[in-house]
Amino acid sequence: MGQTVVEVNDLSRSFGDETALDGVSFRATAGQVYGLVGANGAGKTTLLKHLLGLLSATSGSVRVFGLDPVTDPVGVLSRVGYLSEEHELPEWMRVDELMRYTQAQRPTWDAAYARELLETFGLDPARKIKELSRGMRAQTGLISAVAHRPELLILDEPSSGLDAVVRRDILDAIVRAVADDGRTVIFSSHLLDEVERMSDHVTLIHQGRVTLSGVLDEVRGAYRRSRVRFAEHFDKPPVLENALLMEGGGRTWSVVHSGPLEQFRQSVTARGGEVVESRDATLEEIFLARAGRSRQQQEAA
Amino acid sequence: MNMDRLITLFRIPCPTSSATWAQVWFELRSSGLRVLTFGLGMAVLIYFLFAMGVPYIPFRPFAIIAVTGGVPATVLIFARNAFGIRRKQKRAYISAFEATQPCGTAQLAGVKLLVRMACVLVAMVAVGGSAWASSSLMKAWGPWSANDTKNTSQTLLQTRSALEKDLFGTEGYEFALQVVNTLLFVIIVVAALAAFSALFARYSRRLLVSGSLLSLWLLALRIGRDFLPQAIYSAMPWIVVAALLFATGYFLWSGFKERALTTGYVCGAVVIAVANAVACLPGSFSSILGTVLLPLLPCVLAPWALHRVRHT
Repeated sequence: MGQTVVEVNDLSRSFGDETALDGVSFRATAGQVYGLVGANGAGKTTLLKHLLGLLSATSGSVRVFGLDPVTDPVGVLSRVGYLSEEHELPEWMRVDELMRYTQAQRPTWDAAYARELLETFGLDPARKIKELSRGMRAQTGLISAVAHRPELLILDEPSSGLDAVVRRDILDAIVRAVADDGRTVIFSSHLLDEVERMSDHVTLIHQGRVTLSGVLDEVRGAYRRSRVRFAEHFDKPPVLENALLMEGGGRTWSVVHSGPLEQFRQSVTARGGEVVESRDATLEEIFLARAGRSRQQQEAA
Repeated sequence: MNMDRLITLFRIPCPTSSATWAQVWFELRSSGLRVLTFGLGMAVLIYFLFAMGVPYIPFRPFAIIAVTGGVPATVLIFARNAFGIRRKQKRAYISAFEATQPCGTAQLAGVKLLVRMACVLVAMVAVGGSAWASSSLMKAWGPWSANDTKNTSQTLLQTRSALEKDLFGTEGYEFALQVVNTLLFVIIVVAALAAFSALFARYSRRLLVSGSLLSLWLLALRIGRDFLPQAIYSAMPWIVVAALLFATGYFLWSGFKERALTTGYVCGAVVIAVANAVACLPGSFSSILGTVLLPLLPCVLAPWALHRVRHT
């Protein structure tokens, strides 16, 4: 296992009466791509802001490169590249001025790489930020985040504003190149296909809690979607072992479940049914099931 | 030509050799040049109003208002919010772009304050210089109306002469002292307003409560002059000095603990504080302490407050 880059332990944060993060723990190691998934307002951006030291924890701890980003912003931020969700860049700046300013702030700036990316995106260095479209701003922000070859790249909803081609061809390539270099990427997204395509690890945040976290392939391998048929008619979903989400009605139900298929099959047989069909669950199905389970647990609590 | 285009005329490339100089460039471009442009604009406007006052009497009151209000406006309007705190949907914050630059809070605060102080001073000099030069045109104004028996222009010229004597009739040492006092005044005002805006962004409710309590206390002192013990009034300088001392001590301790302050920054603040004490030439021990603490407190408080906004 690679060196630990980020370590978040039991992090909680509230804004007034609203709990944004509730006992979140998260760990990232070098050379891996971590995807944070969750609905809007789930707490993804709040977690990323803690990693950057923009927010300080109400309780728990955050360490990036073993340092506290709030008390040692220089030690952390000099090794981090960040693209914010709003692509918040000074509007009065020209693209080339932004590049020069970032170059001065980051001694590891790779001017040739920055030029190459500017050409790839077709950005005019003489244009002002305020004259750029949302997509162009995202591209400019991405260049200033990656061209100093940071050890940790944090991207908050990087695909918002980017068109499908740029997203698939360029963003994926950049992220993969960073990870292949032995550096780390943490990005948030609500697009599950993007997370599935780009990440090595996946973390689901739902209502401020981590409801699922693990290596992407292991997560995918641990859940199945099965269609079951019962002899009896059920008005409410029957209780089945390891079932997370049940859809349908009457005799036929579609179930997202964890654990081995054989175990699930026995559970169905015990209720007088049979598994008609079974396949690996998609990430979307897993996340919907996990989010639903989390909500049920909260309601029960 | 709008303000933005005018500023673009002063295009200076961002230096890439030093992060500090790049930050100075950033501050100049993002807000400093606006202050300078306003100062120069104000200077031109003052001259224009005085010149127009020669043939056209209605311009004269405006010229006087521009002179008497120009310098205070330059200080108060452009000395505020040196940290560039923004407001959006009732939320006050500094931009994530600035907050995520690998720069210590003390260094960031120091650069922001110094650039703003320099720009305000230059703007003040431009406005003050223009006011001084333009006001000599009053000699050509003549009476303001047929009933102007007091000869307003002459009265204004006499005031100008008195001011001239106060400012330039002093010895070299005294004149230098006045310059230093002005410089320190701008430093204190810029640091205090920056600290206040950052504190207000983070602790608006607490600040309002504290301000209200302070106002009530001052009001009670004013009303109770006849029946409150005289000892309270005698102890007032010491109460103020003790409060300043306690506050400065707390923010120094907390600032170092949270690494919002660095030794270099505090040394700079102490130099300013000592310079203020020397320039003010205080008499009693409490006033010496007061003149040291008065500039030290806002200088120490400013990065502490910025740290609280940067790391909410």
